[in-house]
Amino acid sequence: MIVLGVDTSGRTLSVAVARGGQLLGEYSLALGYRHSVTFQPAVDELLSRCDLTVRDVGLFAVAAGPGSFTGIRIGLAAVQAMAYAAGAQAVGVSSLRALARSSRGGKCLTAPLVDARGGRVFSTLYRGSRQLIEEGPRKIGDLLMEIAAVVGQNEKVLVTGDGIFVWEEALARDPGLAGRLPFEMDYASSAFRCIRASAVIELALEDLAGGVAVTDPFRLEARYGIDSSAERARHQRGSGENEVEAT
Amino acid sequence: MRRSPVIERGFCPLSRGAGRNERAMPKEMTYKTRSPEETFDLGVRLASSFLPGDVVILAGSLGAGKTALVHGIASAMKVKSHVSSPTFTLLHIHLPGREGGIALHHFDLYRLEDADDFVANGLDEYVGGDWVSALEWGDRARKALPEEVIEIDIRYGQDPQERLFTIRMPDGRRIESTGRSCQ
Repeated sequence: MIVLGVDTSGRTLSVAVARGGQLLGEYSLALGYRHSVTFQPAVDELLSRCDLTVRDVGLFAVAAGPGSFTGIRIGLAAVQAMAYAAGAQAVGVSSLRALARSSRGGKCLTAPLVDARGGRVFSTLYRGSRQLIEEGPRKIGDLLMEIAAVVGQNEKVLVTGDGIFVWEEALARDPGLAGRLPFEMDYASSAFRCIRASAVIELALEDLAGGVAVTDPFRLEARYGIDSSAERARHQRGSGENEVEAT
Repeated sequence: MRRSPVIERGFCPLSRGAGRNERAMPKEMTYKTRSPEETFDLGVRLASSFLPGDVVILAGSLGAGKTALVHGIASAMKVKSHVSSPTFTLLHIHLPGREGGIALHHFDLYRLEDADDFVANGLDEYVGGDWVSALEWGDRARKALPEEVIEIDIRYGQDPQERLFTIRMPDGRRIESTGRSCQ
């Protein structure tokens, strides 16, 4: 089965093609928020280099956020349209999970960070594939406490993602803080701080094999990470109860 | 964008903010205008202090003159499109009217509650690039905006037509259009 992996959920763009689990090719662009212009040509170019067309794709794997609102919308909408046209399946995976996988596989501890503005990062912590803390936007101080509560003494945590600068700024404001932490920190090299679509493919295939993947393109769900005040109000009222009826 | 300061009658810096280099680098200045036309002109003058990437927060109650000021800013920047209040659309993007010009992103955050609304609607991605962002009610999204911003607070003066504009520049920046001194 041909799998097309896609990430437009952050400042970088990545697309990859695999046959089964075997990577055929991958494109990454770091041109900022220009996905609406760069995404489709990148897909066309990569597929044609591999002598494929969109109709050959059996599974679309897409990073569904958290990250850039517009980027998430572009990725999901494009994948839904292509999957519908090709009669293919589509699987969404968490962008943080894909970021952790892009930075280093194996069983090590990884904290993927995506800038969430206002000194916050979308974040979580993985030990290999196992998620140790919930995904969410956090201040660095809160994140450090949550990490400290679940990792062992002197374990090394790999920090990765474009949210690293928020982390570094927070540590710079409190120079003694790094020394007081019960764990060690390691920073991903800049070559491994962005999501690679090959990792998105890998995770989608794992979810598919594990029987936990939703494969209907029209049931892809965005993971925006931050709720608007209207959504918060709706959750407080009890979801669904007072939904506006179509007129 | 035109960068040279222009001094013209009608703008009255009332005070200069405190600071170590207050003479060389006034970080805060207050201007008084007496009509929407003067507010427009103040916008024109202010635009000469702006640089690509600048984020301008406009605070002040309804009818204070936020949109009138943006009118002036847009006019000086020679953007392509007509300025109207983006109260319902949240954001108007005004492209530069000539090559090498700078775009103006005009926000109105009146309908938003807080910074999370700003981010949840993806508006944060339209701030801070190589254009000028002017945000009416921008204080509502303060937490999601860059640390360095230009703040403009608008208050009513004694006469119904009178407005007081307090302008604070980021560290190391000065207001280039100093206006006619009243001191």
